[in-house]
Amino acid sequence: MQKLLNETKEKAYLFLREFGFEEDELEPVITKGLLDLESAINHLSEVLEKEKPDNEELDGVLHGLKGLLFQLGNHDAANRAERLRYTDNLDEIRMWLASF
Amino acid sequence: MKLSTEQEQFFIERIKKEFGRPEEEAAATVESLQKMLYEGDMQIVYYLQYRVFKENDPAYTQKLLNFLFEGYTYLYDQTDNQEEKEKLGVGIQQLFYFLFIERCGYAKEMEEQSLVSQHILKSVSDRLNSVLKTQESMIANLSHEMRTSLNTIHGYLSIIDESKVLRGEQKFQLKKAIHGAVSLQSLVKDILNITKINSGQLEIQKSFFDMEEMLLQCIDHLSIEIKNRQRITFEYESMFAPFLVYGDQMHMMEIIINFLTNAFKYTEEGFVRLKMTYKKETKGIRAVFSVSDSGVGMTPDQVQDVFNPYSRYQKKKQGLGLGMHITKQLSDRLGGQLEVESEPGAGTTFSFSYLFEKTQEHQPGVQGKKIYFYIEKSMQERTYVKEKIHFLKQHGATVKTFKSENSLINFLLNAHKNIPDILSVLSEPQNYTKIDALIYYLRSGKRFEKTIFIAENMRQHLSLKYFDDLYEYCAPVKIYEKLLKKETANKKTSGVGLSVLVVDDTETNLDIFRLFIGKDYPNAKVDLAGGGYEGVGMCKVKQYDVIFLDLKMPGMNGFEVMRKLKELNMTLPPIYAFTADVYKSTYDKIFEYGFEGILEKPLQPEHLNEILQRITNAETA
Repeated sequence: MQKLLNETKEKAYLFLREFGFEEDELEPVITKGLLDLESAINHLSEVLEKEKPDNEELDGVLHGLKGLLFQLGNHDAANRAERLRYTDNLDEIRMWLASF
Repeated sequence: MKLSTEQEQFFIERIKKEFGRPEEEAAATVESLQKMLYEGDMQIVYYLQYRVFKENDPAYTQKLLNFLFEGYTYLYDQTDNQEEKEKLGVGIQQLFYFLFIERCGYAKEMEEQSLVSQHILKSVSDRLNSVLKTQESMIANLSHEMRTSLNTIHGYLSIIDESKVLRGEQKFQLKKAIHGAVSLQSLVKDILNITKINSGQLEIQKSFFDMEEMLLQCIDHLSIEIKNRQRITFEYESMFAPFLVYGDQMHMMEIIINFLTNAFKYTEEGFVRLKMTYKKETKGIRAVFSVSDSGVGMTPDQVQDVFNPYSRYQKKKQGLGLGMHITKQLSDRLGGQLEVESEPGAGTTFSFSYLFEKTQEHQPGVQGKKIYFYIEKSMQERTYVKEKIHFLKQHGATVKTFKSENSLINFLLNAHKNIPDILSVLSEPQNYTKIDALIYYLRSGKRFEKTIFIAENMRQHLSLKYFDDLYEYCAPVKIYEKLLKKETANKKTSGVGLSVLVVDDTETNLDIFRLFIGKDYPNAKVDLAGGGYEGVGMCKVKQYDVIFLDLKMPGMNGFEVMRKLKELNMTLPPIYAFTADVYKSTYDKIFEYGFEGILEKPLQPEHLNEILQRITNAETA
């Protein structure tokens, strides 16, 4: 998970700085954003660990994750999360989760 | 013991076939093999060991292994003598040991040695890198500190200069001190830049920007030089660009400023000309920024050397000669191309060409605005002016052009309606002063108070007091946009204050939303709701000017919130769907539910500001 958090942190600063914000304005937002991201990933793991994951819940978590990643400037990961909303193969989501 | 003729022939044929050796050589090899098998002569073993090493080819080794195995099986099967069989076994074991097992051991040893070497090399390399890093960071820190101190020195010297307390000789000495500080600042800046480039710390930061606005900033940077060098005419020429480009504006500015600084450095009299042209290509828009001068020029040798570090084509000029080297490095890092044309005594042209792969149509935010011009005759047919007016009209501005001074004055003195938001003057120098006085007269009578008066294309510095903004060159449209926005923001501070509700279940999205709104609308009141129920609750107790609603939320989603709000039978403000679902089906559903529009995620300040501006305009209207 740390890999995704580090990568997103870096991208978030780059992305949001482009709009002319100063470091001290961004720091609290990004710090909080990363906490949100961490909890969204944990939520995703919990859903996947269930014997029969609830599809609606899974879609909701991936949707939230996508929105958050988009907003934090990690657009590649956001697009991946969006694609995974439409997969039937849960292992694909697990593999994605394991990759970071 | 000895091989029979038949056995010998067997081996000779195999060697000829498998290894392509001539008869004689094959016979000699068989002879040596016999000596090894029956007499313990190791010559053939060493020879084969050497061959395996020299060939260094797994296919060859495999072939040799097959040959030995086949040969051993053949001899073993042909003999009934136990002692002979044992001897054969010993011989073949020796062969295998020397050819393969010893080789494996050797390979293992080599691998270990290689690992040790790699480890040593890595430690040395790490150590070297760390030393280099320390040095670079030391230089960078030192340069940074020096720059800060120098800025302070320069700042205080300028204050003393402006206060005019020093005269005569002392004033002359002060000028020398200022000049020295400025040179040192430039040197430190160069060192900082080169350190950053060399250490790979140069960060490329891309954003959408207006090329014309960037060029005016470059000119501003050189304004003192332009003003003071009276024997040089500074010219600026740019194509009208109705789009924004995506690139690293800061470093591009640095390149252009370096060109300009260089041109002024090596030109005593004549002209310095900054020019921007662009053309569409398959992959995007290629812009060329060039600076020409009528200065000393360069020989072909000097041209070849110009981008090398520490090259100065006139040694008496100040500087380290790093400027153009840095420019080249920056251009390379950005992916641009530099060109130089020069002739001794005739001048030089430096140009930087860059392909902007990503561009964005400029949405100038002038919809419904009245923008009037007074354009003197010689300017009326200029392509730039015509294109600018066409562009403004295209984006919903009401444009009116006064072609004579009398018609403008007549309008200003008699107009009671259709008061413009902007009135821009492009005239002969003497007319600006006249109109400046007229603005004073009008405002004294509380007229045209909300109109922004701009003096454009003045071509020289004029002390005008009542125009709201002054430009020596044609002002890019972005400037109008900024002035109008500033006016809108001023209106807001005078009481129009926006009230915004954002509903989203992700706290970070809310934070970022508040950050973005606060940037251009610092006086807007932003309420955040973390879910649908909360959002509906807040709408019940407060009237908002605009609502941004996330569509997919746990509990009550955006569509349900919308339905609920409609059921409440209250006056609803414009409600925008805040979503990353940009599918057609979502779009259709959004409009079916009565949303005013969509604000896509990730949040783009330009889109957000467009909506907020629309809301503000409606409010003020």
